[in-house]
Amino acid sequence: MIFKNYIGEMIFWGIVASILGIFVNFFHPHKIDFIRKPPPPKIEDTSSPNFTEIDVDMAKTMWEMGEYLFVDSRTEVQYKKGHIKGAINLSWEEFEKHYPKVKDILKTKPALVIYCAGEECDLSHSLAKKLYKEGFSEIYVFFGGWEAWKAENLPSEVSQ
Amino acid sequence: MKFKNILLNLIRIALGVIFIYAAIPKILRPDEFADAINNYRILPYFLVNLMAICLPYVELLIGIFLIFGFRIKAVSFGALTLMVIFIIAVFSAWIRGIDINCGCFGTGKEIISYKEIIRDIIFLLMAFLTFLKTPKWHTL
Repeated sequence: MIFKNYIGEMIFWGIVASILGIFVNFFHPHKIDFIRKPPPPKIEDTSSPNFTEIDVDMAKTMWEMGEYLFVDSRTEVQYKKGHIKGAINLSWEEFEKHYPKVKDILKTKPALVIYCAGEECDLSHSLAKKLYKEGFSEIYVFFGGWEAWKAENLPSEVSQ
Repeated sequence: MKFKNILLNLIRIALGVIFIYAAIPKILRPDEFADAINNYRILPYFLVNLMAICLPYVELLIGIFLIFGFRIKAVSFGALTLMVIFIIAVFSAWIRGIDINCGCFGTGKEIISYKEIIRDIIFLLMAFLTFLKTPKWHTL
């Protein structure tokens, strides 16, 4: 097999480059943890309430009413690239850091609608649980999330 | 056979430029690249960041080596391997219908479609040609 002779050398150079990458990451202004934070565990315990799930039509109606505060539970980077118009960002991954900053904004509306990327992500449920523990009781989970909102071409915005 | 050699060199250098061009935005923003990898939902979470840290430098090294004609056989084989992995990743995201950014050239707004797959196959062929047609002695 012609490839066989080069596999070893390819792996060698791959390791050299990887070590360089790991080294640079220590000094990088946008450096990241070597191990990503684990995704939130699936909700199974019954200690917290089941939040009312809403679909995209319902979300649209609620958005138009203006009585609900939309909360984006994705990361800041994802939020900045595009989110539901008027939504605020409260990343589940950095809840402890960001919650004190947005605490007062959350209280300005009587109810919250939480969303994340789409149907397959559990961030919105996890965030809903955390906010419930912080004393918010009127919480809705928009399970279609950003993907469904974007697919319907509903009002969105980008922030830099 | 002079023309053939010039063409092969051109393909090799172009491939090197493409790899460097792809590596730079990822090197500048490892955090965004990590999100892009995570969106594919292929790797387990504990490998995502490590991949985002290492992979751009592997691409950079391959690109530089290809341009300068250093260890061509080994790095073009590396390029070939990476392209196969990328094609599988993009294809799997495409057939699962997940609407994500490719992340191929940093974090541009290219949503995955068949176009990315065709483009990657062209790169794959370039890497394959470079690997196959580079004479054995040409390894510096």
